[in-house]
Amino acid sequence: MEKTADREATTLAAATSSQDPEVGLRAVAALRGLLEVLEALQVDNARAQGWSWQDIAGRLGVSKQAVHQKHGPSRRPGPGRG
Amino acid sequence: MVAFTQPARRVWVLARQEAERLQHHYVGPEHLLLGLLRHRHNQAARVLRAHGLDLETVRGEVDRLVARGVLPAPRPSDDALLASLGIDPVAVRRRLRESFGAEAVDQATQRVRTRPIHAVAWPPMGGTPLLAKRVFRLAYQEAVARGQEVGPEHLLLGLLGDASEPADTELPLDQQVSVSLGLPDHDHHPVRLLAEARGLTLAVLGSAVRGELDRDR
Repeated sequence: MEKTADREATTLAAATSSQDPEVGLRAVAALRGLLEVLEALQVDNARAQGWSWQDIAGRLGVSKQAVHQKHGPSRRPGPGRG
Repeated sequence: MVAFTQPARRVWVLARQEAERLQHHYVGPEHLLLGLLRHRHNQAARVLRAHGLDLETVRGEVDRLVARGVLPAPRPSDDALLASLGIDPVAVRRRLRESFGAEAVDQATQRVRTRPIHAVAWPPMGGTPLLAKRVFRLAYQEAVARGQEVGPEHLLLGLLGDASEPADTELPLDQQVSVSLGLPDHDHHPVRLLAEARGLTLAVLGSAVRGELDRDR
């Protein structure tokens, strides 16, 4: 699959920076997916190292409320889905 | 998943190849059906061929479903889209696993998918989604009921069972993923549609497979 991705990328490289919304919007969605996982990992890590929500929010450049809402403990119970 | 026969594992590999060939970034019932036919040497494929569903015919019907918009048109993968932005998603995943461990990456991915707000249906860390969980569940039940391992024949029974029931509401996340993959939110099961397109019913195919399985017992 990864080789295919390389090949596709070559043909896409022009398209993404072009003005085709079909490709451009999908690229943004893929980037957001990556970003959200990265953020979740870093927030978990910071919490494990004893960082406060206030400090985490400060480094992320968002409000404490926003970061707590997104990553705080009031999550839906358990995995076991999907 | 319990005890798949060697042919069933091979069918799974071939199904993934069919998905890749179609530039579909999930594995669904239509790919499993193509996988059964590509494997050739199994009773499921023989039953399908005996009813006029050979590999070329089914590929043609799948192409027609793509043309009708029932199945997604070829589209770039998330990895290709990220690479086109200059990001190497393979390297990112590797580094994250090295720094935080595979388990932490999986947990973070799972949480991002299921959290109540800002959820992402299928982040690019998630691998290829399987949109045929019920197929495997039904196949497993068919195998267990006969005291057998899961083979291609049980997979076909799973496909037919899945196709004859309404959309799976037990798996709401699958629905969400479907939409993000460009699958229309519908009750149009591709296997049912392409059987009907050849004038066949799921029941006829089902009893033919059961006939084969029970004759061999």
